[in-house]
Amino acid sequence: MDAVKSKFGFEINQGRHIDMDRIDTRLADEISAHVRSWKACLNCGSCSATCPGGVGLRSLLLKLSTLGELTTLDTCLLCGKCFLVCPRGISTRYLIIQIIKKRREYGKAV
Amino acid sequence: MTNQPDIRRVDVRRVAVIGAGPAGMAAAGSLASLGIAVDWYEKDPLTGGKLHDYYQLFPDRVRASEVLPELESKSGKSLITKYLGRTISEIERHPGGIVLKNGSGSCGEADAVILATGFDFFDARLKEEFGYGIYKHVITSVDLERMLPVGKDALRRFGKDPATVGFVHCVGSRDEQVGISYCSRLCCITGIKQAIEVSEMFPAAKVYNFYIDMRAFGQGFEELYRKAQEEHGIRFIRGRVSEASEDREFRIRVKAEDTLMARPLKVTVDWLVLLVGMTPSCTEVTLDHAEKQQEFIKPENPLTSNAVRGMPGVFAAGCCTGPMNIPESVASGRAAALQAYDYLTRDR
Amino acid sequence: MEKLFDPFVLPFTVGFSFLVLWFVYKIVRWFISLRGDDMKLVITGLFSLKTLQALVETVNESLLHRKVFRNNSRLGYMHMSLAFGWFMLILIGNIESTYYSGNLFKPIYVSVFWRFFDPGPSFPQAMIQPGFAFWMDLFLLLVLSGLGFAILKRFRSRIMGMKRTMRHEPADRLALAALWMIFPARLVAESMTCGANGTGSFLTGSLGYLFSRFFDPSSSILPSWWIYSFLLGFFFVLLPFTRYAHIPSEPVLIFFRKYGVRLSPGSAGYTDLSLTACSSCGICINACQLAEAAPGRPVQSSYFVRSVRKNRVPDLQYECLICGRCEAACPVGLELMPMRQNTRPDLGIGSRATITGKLGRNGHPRRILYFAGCMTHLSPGIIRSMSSIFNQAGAIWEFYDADGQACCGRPLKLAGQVDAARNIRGKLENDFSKSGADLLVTSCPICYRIFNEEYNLPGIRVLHHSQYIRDLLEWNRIKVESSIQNAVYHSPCELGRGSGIESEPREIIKALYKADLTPDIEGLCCGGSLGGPGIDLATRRAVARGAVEELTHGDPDVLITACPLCKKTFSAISRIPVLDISEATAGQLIKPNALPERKKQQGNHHKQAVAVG
Repeated sequence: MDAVKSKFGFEINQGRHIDMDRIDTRLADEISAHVRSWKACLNCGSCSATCPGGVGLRSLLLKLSTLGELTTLDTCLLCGKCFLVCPRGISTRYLIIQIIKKRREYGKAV
Repeated sequence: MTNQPDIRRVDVRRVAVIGAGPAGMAAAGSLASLGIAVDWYEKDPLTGGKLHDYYQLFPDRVRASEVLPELESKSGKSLITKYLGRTISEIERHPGGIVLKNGSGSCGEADAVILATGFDFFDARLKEEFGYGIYKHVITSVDLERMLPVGKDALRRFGKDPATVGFVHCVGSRDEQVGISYCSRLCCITGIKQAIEVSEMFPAAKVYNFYIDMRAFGQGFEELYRKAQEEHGIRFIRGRVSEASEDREFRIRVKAEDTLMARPLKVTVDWLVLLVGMTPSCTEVTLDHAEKQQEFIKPENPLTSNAVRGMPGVFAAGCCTGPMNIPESVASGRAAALQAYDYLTRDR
Repeated sequence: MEKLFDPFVLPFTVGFSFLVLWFVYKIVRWFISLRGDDMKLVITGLFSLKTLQALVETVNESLLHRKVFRNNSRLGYMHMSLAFGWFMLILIGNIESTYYSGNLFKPIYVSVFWRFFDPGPSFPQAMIQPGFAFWMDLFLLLVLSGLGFAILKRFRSRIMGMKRTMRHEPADRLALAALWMIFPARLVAESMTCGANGTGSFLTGSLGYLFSRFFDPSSSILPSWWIYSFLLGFFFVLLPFTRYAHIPSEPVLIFFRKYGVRLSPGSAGYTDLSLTACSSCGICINACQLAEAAPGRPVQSSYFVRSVRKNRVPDLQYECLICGRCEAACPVGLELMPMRQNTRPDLGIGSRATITGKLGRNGHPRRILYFAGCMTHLSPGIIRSMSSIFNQAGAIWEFYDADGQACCGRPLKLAGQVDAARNIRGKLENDFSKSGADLLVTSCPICYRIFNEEYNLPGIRVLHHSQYIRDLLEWNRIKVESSIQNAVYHSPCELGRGSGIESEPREIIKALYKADLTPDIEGLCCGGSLGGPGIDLATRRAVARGAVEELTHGDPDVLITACPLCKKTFSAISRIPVLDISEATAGQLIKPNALPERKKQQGNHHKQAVAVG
């Protein structure tokens, strides 16, 4: 690091950036294979907005597809409102069930 | 064998233009300039289409009331016969020409037809979760456009200026829940324009625009977007509104997610404006053998022809082929006129 | 009479003995793996009138297949002729052989192959004599006619009134082939014997006579009986591993069920019995709307049962609407809905879900608690209408989930998350009891069902809003004016079939509209069901379109439903307006006071461009 700083005059902050070369998307890919419509997500946020259980579904799904991280859905009521408002018609409830099933198979978040 | 058009032949031919909005006005005017007689049909008692309902047009905020007479003057030629208040419901091709029918039978004939039947706005009652028709202070962009020229009183509640106004983008567009998967193109810029207009009328008000993607594609659009942010302090929130409800003071509570902040939000507004998309006109004419592109009329070949597929001699222009703004509709009308002319005059 | 034995009886005897041993083993297993209370029910029931009732039901359903007849007489005849016909052949064969041999206790094969040992009365006189031979021939003909229909059904099912038949697996197909060959083989064997001896009644005698005209049947006797015996034995050996295990198990199921045993997550024995009793008849496939909307997806109950029997719960099972139409149509009366739910694993979703509701106004008596339901918040027209109705009726009411942050818990339960649902139930039971209300009105049939069936709410009556509105109309607490329009009513799965609330909404419609054009069919599913998370939007739309088409044959002006989910699902595709029953009522309320109410819109109206081309 010091060598970099002295030669180029700046540091490379390793903490924040997403290293797309290193992300393991196998988990997200497996789940996408079950629920193909997920790939059409616009990230519009209607799902998170309407959720009575306070689940931030949009960001949860985004983290999963971008970072391969799997978080918990233990406040989800499975009420289905997210599916009713989704403009791309994604089967959100099924996605949630598949995610939890996979989580059980693979253990906790990566 | 000459390359000149047979003018004598052309003189007895007639083209029917159906629709007197911007595209129809341009088509009729262009045909008349080329020396072709036009039978011009319009279901309303006036020409001009929806221009009568608009206030200021984006991006330069020219008044629609000033643009209308200009367009009309180009279509006031003597070769044009107007049939106002007439609806054509069906077109049928016969060996000798094209027959136009209304509900009770044949009402006209032509050698070529230009369809310029335009569009309808999406019925916001279909998105019931926004409460249009249920909550008093939920209106559409169409309603707002009519309220703006009236002045501040139209938007005051109980004599007081509105403190907060919200705009919802993509109502009836890009939405599988209502079966409309396309983008209506012009609602984003409409939202920006109206946000600026409201903000000018009530400088103290907070104005929020809830969008998914900001489509400011045209000339001057992006500049207007920036103006809205910088000069008028319009707050653009990237997040689609999921539902609205009413509180005790009849203000509207909006639920959305600020996706960039990754947090759900709620805000209470005095007016919620739904930016409704464009759908094919319900006074659509039935054609035999025609195809529709996502319910709009599909041209035979978008690159080379405005003719309706499978119906030679029938051309389509303007918003009946898809969402367009006024300059695009006008250009489309002129292009269709030229193609109709070509169709009539070429050797067959 | 010579010794009643020939080596050809061995295949049959071996197969049959195997079958009997298997059956005894299974009955014992099923019984001992019942839950304790269920075992008691069976033992006490055994010596009661219920046994007689179960016997009657067995005759009615296992033999005569009356339920299938009610649905479709061709199909009913087919099943009945095979089952009842075969049963009568066995019964009369037994009586015949006992009568002629004078011996009640004889080896089982004797009555089965009696015609071999005793060729019977002479032909053609036997044709007109109403003796055993005549009845045996008659019932054999009955079975063969059924067989003919069965073959027809497999190749041209539409003639038999079934749009689709089940696709069977190799083992089932083999057993099917064996079964189909058994009765023709019997006919041939008996006819050979009759032909060689100049005996037989109208069927076997005629055929035997015909044989004798072309060759000497006597040399063909033994081979044909060997074939018949072998087919029987083969079928019996296969039976426990195929769909035909249904034959012995259905009566057992009928008896246990009559004694009061029901399916529950803990009852492995009864579940196994239920699974075995499924005959793979495919009537459920016919009743399932997904057969049209998602053709080729083996989601229907017969496929589901088959998979579970092999210890494989298909992932497809999340694609079932849990609408109950298959359950309603099943001739065996299997509890298909509980079976589906019990196999959905509890994944721990929603384990920390919390809900909040509003119980304000201390000291104010709260007689009625209104629970809209989470989905209803996406249909504010319903909430607005109920508000008008409550106020018009002068009710003292409180809107518990005004913030839209509550849920009844049933969606979790339908997806298998039983624990999470129980937690939510606890919270709501607590809040409802504290509220001081004596009436709980809900707008959502899903909520109604779980409140009614599972919640413990002492002193609180639970009503769906259609029941409440009907009561208001009956007691003249509200008045409505009648419209000149015709309406059709869609019965939501959870309200009609699920909770038995059918008459109340129809009474309201009668008061509101000129004519009720609801067709007399088993209630349809709108496609929006929460029961099937794996069903995609396109398939749901297809189900909805099919349902609307069937509902609107009589050309009604408006489609009325009583569920926010049905309303949303239909509104997206219906050409006529779709209204909830509360909206229809509120729109036609006659108000004594002069407050100008905004004219109710005609409901959601999906504009379709005029058809082109």
